[in-house]
Amino acid sequence: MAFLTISDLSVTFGNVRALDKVSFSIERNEIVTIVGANGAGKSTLMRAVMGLAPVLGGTIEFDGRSIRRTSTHAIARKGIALVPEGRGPLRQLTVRENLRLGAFARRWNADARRDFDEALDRFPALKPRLTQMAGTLSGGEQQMLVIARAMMARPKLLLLDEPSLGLAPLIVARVFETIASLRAMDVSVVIVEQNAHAALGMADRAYVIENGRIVLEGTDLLGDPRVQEAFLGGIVS
Amino acid sequence: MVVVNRNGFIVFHNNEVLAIDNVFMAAVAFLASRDTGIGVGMRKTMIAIGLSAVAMATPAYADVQIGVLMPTSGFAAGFGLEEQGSIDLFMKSYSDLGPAGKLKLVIYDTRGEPAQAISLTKKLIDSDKVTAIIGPYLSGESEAAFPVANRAATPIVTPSSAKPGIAAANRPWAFRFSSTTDKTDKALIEHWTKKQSKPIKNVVLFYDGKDAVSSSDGKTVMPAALKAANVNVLDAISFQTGDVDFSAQVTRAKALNPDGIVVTALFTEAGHLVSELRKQGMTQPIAAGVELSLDHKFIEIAGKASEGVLTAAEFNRDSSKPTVVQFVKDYEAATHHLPGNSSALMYDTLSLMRHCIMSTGVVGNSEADKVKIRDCWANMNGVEAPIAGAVTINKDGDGVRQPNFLVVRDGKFVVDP
Amino acid sequence: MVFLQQLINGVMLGSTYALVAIGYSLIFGVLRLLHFAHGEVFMVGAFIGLGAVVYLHVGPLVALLCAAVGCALLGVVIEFVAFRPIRRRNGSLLAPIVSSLGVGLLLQEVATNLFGAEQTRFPPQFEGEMIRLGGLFVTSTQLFILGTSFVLMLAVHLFVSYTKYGMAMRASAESTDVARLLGINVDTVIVLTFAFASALGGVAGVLVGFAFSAISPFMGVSMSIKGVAIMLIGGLGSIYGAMVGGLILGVVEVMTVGYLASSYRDAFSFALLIIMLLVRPQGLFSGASAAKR
Repeated sequence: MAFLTISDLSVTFGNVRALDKVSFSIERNEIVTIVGANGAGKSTLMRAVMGLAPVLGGTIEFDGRSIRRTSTHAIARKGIALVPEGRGPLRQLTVRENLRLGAFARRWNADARRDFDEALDRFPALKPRLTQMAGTLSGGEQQMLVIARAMMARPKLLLLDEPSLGLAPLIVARVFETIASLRAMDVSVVIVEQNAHAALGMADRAYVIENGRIVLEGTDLLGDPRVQEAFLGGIVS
Repeated sequence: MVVVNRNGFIVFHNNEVLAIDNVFMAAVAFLASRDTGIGVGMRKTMIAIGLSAVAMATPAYADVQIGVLMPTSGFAAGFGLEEQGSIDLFMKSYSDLGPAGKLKLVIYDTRGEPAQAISLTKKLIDSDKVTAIIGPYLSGESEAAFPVANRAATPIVTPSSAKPGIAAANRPWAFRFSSTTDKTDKALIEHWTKKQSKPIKNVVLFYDGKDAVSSSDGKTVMPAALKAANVNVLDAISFQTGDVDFSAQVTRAKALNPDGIVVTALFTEAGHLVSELRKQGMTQPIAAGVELSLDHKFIEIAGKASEGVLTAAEFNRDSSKPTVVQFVKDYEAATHHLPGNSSALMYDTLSLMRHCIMSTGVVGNSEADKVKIRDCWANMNGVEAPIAGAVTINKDGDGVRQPNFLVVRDGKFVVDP
Repeated sequence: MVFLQQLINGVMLGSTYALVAIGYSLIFGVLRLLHFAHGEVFMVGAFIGLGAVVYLHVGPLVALLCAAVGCALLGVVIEFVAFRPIRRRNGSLLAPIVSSLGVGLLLQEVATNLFGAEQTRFPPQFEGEMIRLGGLFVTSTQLFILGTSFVLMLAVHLFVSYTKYGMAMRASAESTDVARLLGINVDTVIVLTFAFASALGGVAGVLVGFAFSAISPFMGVSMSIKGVAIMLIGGLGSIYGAMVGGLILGVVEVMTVGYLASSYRDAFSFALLIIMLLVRPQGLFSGASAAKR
């Protein structure tokens, strides 16, 4: 049994079916990418896993247990962290406070403090900004902050929703470097991306989602001609 | 034990009365909003049902029906509850009218609000078809309700409102049992200045700018009475009904260093004011107008600071007159409270209303019956009331009587000779 | 000298306003809703304090504690009865306003029946001793009230700034979704906020009872209106705005009464509010949203 297994998951908002019988899974220590166009249902899928979207049918199992009816904060405490799209940081809290709240479910002990120091080593740009409001950070710094904050919870599964959105190419590259380095930390990662190139490059496996359905699954989608045409502008890397 | 009586009040065992519409509306609003599963239309329907249930709580009576308006909730509820005690006591012994059947009272709570007084006056006349109305309590309410009754040719008698001119402006159907402040103020100031060892030349006048009678008293009536007694008003400082912080007013008065202090306010605000005056170290003699209503709550609120405060009132609880002694005894036995000025005024007004019904041969609720009651009040001259004694109503529709002067000694109002 | 005395009078009044307004701000910050029964919680606090003093013969500090605990419980009950069911069903924005108004009325009527409609007061010894400072005077009770208010404001500041749940409260105020994703049980935070805000309101009720000897079922009504006005002046949901706004309103009221007339008092207060809304609509202390400290 996979680490996270989703079968036949359907989500509707009013009359709009956002996800239609989506099935997908991820193993321990795996990095999986889900690519799809804007509005294809990628973010909804992530939110549904966290209990933030109205699930109509299907099952969600994490570590062998159903979490479909578990509340969001309890899912977070089971070890799944979602880095939400766009406005991720608590803008009116300081960088330090954001990081501390990342460890909300844990005790603030020596262990947590060590993680805090490690997070700052991993993202040195945050160090001089600790007492600044998170809202005053640049886009790249904010993205690093939310990833660092998510890691403060010591998650077993990390869901990243469009980590490259709105960032300059140079910074995107650094964000993905960081994500790749998480592999060493015994954490499974799901990356949802519109900007598929970098994400597919680092993934063990990938899915393509279109109009709320998984249309393609494979281990080397980067080389798949359909994917190249749809998401990579036909350029062979 | 809780009983919902026919007047739309919930009556608790200790005689405290709660207007049913308040609780009901609160409950309806609460339920309607809690269950948001139901639509707006349904919620509106529920509220409408609530409102009509309140309307239906008013039954149809035969016999002679008299409406009563008084505040049993809101800031003036204390007065209404004193009146309620007298109503219960009176109706126990005197609801029988002989050949005319029974005296029936339709009682509504005005919450002390003029707007409520207007709509309830209309309701009493139009849907309850009362022959006459007793009330409302406050001058502001009477000022608003009198024209309504006057236009509808229905007698209306306030037991208590004391602001000058409000019955005179609504001839020939509006009356009041109480005396007006222009008469009582003059007597009070004369008595007060005469009693002081140090002559009073300059005073600071405090008045409630929101309460109708206190405000008219403080702005025009009391200054005229003071002027007539050659007393100069250094400053007239206002506050508002419901105020509890009087520090700013007293600090301002203290800087003027007057010889005496005059207050025209309801007992609650007067209590807080007097308390603050003494707290800030002002020891000058204090005179308070009839608005104080001789309420023991004034002494409770002001505490020791109330000692020596002089006031005027119609009712003297410590009178040795047998009918008064009997009234105080019966009232206390029935309600476990001592009667206040408001209790006495209501009891006498009810007695006189019954006198008018029985002596003029009122038999029901017709136009002719209304005229009989009106003429009885208009021509009242020396009619004996149980507490006040001989009652005369002047051409303005006002009661004419000499007030008693009372002073606080050892935590009680006693007659100041 | 008279001016200084009036300033003292104003700060006295304002510090009690501030405590009530902080409660409003805390709840508004987390729920984005006006809690219209908060004034009635304040009223209940005064009665609990009075009951503790009269029947249990406790001192002022214990009376404050009783009111704080009692009102915290009441606040939690109100959250469970009047707010949570609506939130669960994604009710309209208007629904909780109406239901909290309903709870407020209910509390008023229940209090009227239990205690009577008239004002009652603390025993006279709670008025305290008069202390003269040159030409100025204060009472020991006034100093106690001022001290308690400022200690509580400091406590609120420390709580929301430095404790885990204080941060969680601010996080929930900014985004309930993000807070949940961090493992914060937002429902717990809301309950905690209600308890905390209501405890402050209860304490303010007792303090006002000490200060003005005027405890009645209707004492919360004007306090509710003032609380909302202060929140608008200070910035919606801002705790520091509530503190400063409360003091400003108290001083403005006292100065208007002291130098003009009491009938201008509300006019001036609302003029201040309107000017504030025109010149600085976001209030004194504000950012883009209400989750600021």
